[in-house]
Amino acid sequence: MALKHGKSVAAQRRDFLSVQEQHQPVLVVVFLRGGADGLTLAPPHGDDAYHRARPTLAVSRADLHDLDGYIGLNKSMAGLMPLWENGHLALHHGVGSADETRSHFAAQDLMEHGGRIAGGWLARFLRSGSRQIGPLSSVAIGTTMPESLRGAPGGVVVQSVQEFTVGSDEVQSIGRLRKLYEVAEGPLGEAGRSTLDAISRLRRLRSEPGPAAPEPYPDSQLGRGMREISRLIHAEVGLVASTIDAVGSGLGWDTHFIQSQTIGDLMEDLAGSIRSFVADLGAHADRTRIVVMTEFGRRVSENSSFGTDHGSGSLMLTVGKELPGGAGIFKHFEGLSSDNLLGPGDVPVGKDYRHVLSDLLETVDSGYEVERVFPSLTQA
Amino acid sequence: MSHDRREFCSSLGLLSLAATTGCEQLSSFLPAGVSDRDRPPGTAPTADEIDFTHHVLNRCTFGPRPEDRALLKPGFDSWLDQQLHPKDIVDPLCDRTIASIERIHQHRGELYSEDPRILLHDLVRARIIRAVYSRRQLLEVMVDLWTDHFNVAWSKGNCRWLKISDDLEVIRPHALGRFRDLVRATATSPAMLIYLDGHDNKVVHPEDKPNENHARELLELHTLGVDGGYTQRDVLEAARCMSGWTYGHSFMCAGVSRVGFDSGRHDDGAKEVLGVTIPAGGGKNDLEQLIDIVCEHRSTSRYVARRLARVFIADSPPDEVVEAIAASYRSSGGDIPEMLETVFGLPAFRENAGTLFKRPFRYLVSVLRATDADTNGGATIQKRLRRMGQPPFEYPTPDGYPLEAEPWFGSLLWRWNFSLDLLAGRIPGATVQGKELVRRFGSSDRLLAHLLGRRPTSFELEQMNGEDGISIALASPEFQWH
Repeated sequence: MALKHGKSVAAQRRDFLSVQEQHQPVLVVVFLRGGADGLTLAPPHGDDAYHRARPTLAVSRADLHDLDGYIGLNKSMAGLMPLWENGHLALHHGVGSADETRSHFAAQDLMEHGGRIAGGWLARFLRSGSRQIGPLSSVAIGTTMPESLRGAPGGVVVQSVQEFTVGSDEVQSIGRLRKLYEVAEGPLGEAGRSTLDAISRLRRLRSEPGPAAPEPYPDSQLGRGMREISRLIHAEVGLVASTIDAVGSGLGWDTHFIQSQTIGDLMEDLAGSIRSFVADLGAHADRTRIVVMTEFGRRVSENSSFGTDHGSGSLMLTVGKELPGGAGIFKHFEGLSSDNLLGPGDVPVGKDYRHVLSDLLETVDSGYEVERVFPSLTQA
Repeated sequence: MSHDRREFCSSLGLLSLAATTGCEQLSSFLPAGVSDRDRPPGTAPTADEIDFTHHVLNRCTFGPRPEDRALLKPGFDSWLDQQLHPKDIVDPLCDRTIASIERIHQHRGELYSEDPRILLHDLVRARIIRAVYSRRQLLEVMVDLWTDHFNVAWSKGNCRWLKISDDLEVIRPHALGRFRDLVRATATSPAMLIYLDGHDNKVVHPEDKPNENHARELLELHTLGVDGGYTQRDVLEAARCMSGWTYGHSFMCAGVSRVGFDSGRHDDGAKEVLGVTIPAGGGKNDLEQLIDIVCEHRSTSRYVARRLARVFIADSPPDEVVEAIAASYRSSGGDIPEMLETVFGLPAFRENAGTLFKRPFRYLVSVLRATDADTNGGATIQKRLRRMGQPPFEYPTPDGYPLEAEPWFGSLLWRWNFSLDLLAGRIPGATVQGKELVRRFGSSDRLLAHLLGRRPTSFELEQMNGEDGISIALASPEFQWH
């Protein structure tokens, strides 16, 4: 594989990224840090036990969109209703992990590693799959690398696409590097050229403000971050997976205290950001899947501070045009009467969250090996 | 209220900031004499193809420093002989720097009182400093090789505290010793016992099934190799041999952190591994017998030989190359220095100059060495390694960072930025005197020859001139190979 100089291979040049990686599926992982209350996001309003357990916090019929007579969608999440009506939204209720600590840190680690193993599930997916891995295959939006990407082939954490640059005099650097990589043979030459193409595309993206989003994003960290992901998808730079945290302000989803005062804004932000994101993607929405997850749900009964404490099973949302198993409601708990609950009164985990993820990953890369991503899942 | 993740992370941010400020100032971190040390004239190759001296420095070290060609003047054999005896190499500057990273030198029981993220930062810093500055370069290259072969990911459970002792007490002391001793040491390394669940491998009741994870990787990844001819039955029997070894520590009682053999958790019946019978009643000696059996197996000689060949010769080494090294393993009883002498004596070693793709760690270190950079190996450098996809000790699965080129092609953008930012002075943890470097070689053409391992072509000279010429050379396709 040694390189020979002086030979022009420009004629043979092919943009392998555009052939292999354009129009390929993209996965966006939205993590609700803090343990989101699935029973408020998608209230089981048809269950009497729900209303008994939550005298002040139960979402009333007037404050939700009924979906199937038992489960509804909180009106603060109304941004998702168009997706629901088009059959592009699935609600997985009563899912979670084997975590028993009910500690944010332990539960997030367990969930993002995909079991009691080293490294992140998304990292293993990228390492073991058949998708072409380029410089922008996985991008975490934020300031720190999430554990799900621990050990990924390239750990890019950015707050904005503005950060993807090369050198200070970019035009000159790109020009010189292009000449050198133009004549480099083999896969390194191809990789160099596709990387230069990706930077050039991002460069155009940075210099142009681009069209305004068809539906304005919420002015929030999540909204701004989702817009950056949309720009990366539009730019066709080989993005396979992106992660973003929805943390809101204050204590975020960790609603121990006067939950009703804080969770509404968080839900509006979440649903509004997803709604704007999907609209902004336009035709790219067809190849984009979103999963919304959280480390655990919250206790069924409210506490004395009008909040809820750490629980177990919770809600996962998947969004996309052709979802594995279809759109709709997937309820994995029997009901909320106390004999159906777990431990201190939690929704039991009726389905391992990794099954939801593994089905979804199949649609992102049919060549991936589930036993490498979730080894303990396949043994079980 | 229990810990909130964001609070936890932000407090870590503060802690690591506190731990690194001051150290990030190069002058206050490097021991006296490093930043204003003698910088002798550089010597560059003069041929049009990569010559043997450059090839040796590329493969047996983390890449040539400006003055390194002089080291090989007395001949390759005497240089190699020194490198194979790292204890006899005097290296006060690097030793002092490593000693100054005090946190990692505590007993592993004491380490539990430290923040694990800061421990990782310190351990990676030591790794970078050694790779860049140590005179015991072949040792460092072998540590890199065995760290992948016996991979332990920092992020699993207590490995966060235990990887340090695995590095300092298990991998490094045996990296140029006997393979059998290395396997034996890793088999009861606390970090490995946690990483591969060996600590939970127990047979208390006759119907108990041992935990096979560690035994399987011992056969599949550490010794015989996946096609080494063992069966599921051998894995189970090996797991029985290893049952009862465990690791314990006490958060209450600092310093209590030990590996032990619990005969009550050991399956003491007769076993048969790879056709060799181990009689009942062997107790803790079963492990010694098991290690002997697997290390003396013919497949192990070939499997270890193949890794050496892939790291030093070619990514897909021919069978006869692997067999020659394997024969040396068998005749020397797995003596690593003897195997290396065989490797470097093979014609295939000479013939494969510039054909291996540098993994990100080697790329970054070779840039710092080639440019004689002053670096503290701190957070800013570590962040660059992470972007390139190879932060040390973080590969999740037991097979270690891949050796082949393909998985690394996605890291080019971050390599280019590293070289451009380094020479432009935009990386706080590393500085290079670009103009001084040219002066030491006498001309920029000669400096480029030093970077490329041969005289640059006229086409290359055209692209690599001017202000950012050195960066472009370091970012060029040519510099990605070794």
